[in-house]
Amino acid sequence: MPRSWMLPVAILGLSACIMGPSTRTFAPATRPQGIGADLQFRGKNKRVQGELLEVQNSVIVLLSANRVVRVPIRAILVGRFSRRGALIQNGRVGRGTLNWLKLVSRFPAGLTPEIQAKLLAANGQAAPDSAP
Amino acid sequence: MDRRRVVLPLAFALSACFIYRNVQVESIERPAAPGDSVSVATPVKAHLIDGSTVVFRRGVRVAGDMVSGAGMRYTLTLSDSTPVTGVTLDSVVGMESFRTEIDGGKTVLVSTLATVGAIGVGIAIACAADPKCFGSCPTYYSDSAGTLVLEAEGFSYSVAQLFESRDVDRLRLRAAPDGIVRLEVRNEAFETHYINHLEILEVQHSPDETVLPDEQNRPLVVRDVVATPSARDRMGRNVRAVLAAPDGDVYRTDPRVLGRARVGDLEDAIEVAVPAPPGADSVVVVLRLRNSLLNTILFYDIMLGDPGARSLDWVGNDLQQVGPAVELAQWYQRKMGMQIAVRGGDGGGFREIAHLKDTGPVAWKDVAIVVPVLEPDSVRIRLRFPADNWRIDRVAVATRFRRALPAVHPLTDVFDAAGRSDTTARASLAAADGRYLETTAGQRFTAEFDVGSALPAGVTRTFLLASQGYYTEWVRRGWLAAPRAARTFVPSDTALAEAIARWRSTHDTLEARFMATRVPVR
Repeated sequence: MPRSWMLPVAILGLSACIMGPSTRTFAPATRPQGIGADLQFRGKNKRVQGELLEVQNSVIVLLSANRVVRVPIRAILVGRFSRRGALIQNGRVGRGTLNWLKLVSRFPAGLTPEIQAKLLAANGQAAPDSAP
Repeated sequence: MDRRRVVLPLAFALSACFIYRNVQVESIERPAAPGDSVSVATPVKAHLIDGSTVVFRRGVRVAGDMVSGAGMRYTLTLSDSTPVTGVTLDSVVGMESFRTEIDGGKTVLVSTLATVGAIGVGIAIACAADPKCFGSCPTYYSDSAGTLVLEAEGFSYSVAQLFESRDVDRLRLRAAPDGIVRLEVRNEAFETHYINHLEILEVQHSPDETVLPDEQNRPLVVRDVVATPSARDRMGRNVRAVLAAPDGDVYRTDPRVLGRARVGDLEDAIEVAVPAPPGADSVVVVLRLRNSLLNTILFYDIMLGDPGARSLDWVGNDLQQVGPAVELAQWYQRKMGMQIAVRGGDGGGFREIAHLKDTGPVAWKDVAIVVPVLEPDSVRIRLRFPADNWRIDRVAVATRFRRALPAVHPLTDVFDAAGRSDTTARASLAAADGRYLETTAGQRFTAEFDVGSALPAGVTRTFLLASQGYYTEWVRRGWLAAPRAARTFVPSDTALAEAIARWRSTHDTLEARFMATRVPVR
């Protein structure tokens, strides 16, 4: 193999080693939505996907298919998030991870009752759905 | 050609795969001076009171009451978007700014945790609450027959990592019948707490003894604690009765001292005198006290509030540097807290023998300070502090004392708010190391310590909580909206005088407002 291959190979390798998001690729930095979530529950085909609206200590709130959905964290078998992978497994999530999820939700300061009521009304709901 | 010549450089390149790109917070500064402006070149996201969101992908310029930039405003339902050129700060609940950076210091750590860790997007939220909303450090509660009792607050005023400190607080609780000490740890303020270490210290003693931490967090066992025969404040008032017992009847600085406080004359003092015990070379001053909100004014209004968003840089950058941090710490040590002095020795005047740091405005702190006997007949002790910096419930003296080597009970378990054991949190809190448990406003957890239930007859046990960590304040919207200073905080008597002046004009109502804005925990 000619030696001229080695440098491009190394550069290619190194450039592939930059991990983590940039502001261009990290959607919550440049779009109004919270981070995308894909939550799987025990049981076949039980899954909720949507935008992360709010994170509480034991519950997360998604906007999924134009429905506001409350999900107890303990019910989540695997919770995957855009560009981050599985952060919730078997109903467990680290406190630091939970804090981070709160910050990249649409409403990091929390959903006020007024805003929640508006969201529900906009989606034709009287109350949030519950999943699973 | 040997395939190793391809594989080796590729393997080398991949093995160096530890460059971690992160998205970090940038401060958003509103200028104090008309005509001045501040620009942020990275993406900014503003959350508005009505639930809509404005994304400024190319950053913003902040001037006056306006956040200006080429933005897109999205309605609550995200069904409509409208180009905007700015929003008023009054309409903003919180703002976040994002910046990409390569963080060399964190690269290795994050890489090793990459499969399970969070990516650490730092986001600053400017909370919409009152600038003087409840602020404290972690608060610790015990369960007393179904009622939560405030036991302590930890590492007060450790507002940056360089100020991380260890506090030891006397607990009044008893171990449960199963030999477990349980404490609920709360974040009740608009702050982020970084708790490094929790452990319980136990001292066994006879029933007629009392165990207290001294000013350096060392347990001290005292007995024969009595009220001081005399106590006078700076105005000459006899304050013995108010200081005699821990009864909630507290000492406050005389309004005349507070009213005339100015640069060069900022302090109050209490002098107590006790007969010198025959043959003793020391006595112990026993104090029960907590801070007034003067310190809160100094921290939140003067240090953080007046410079507005500049404080984000001050806390996030300046105070991470040793020089500015040391300068602030030295000034703080000289000016705040309480200086304890005893009369006698060379020159015959008062000699400062200890410094008690500020303990926080929420929980009562019991502390004991050993004072040398320097005069033959009496021990005259002076407590000197910034005017109205303290609420003092008790000043007493013990003539008998001993040092104690406490037993250490490490953290046994941590339970989250839902009652689930959190081994990651426990590992973060188990030792004073590089691992921290981070909590934000409204969060709580329960810490358990197995202290055992076996106890010899006639022995009493006192528990003390040792906590270590630091915290950062969330920048209030009011601070962003109305900065008063065009530069970050400069430690000076002028700053303290200004804090006292503001405290003087607001203290009547501030304490009630302060406690009312405690963040409810979930």
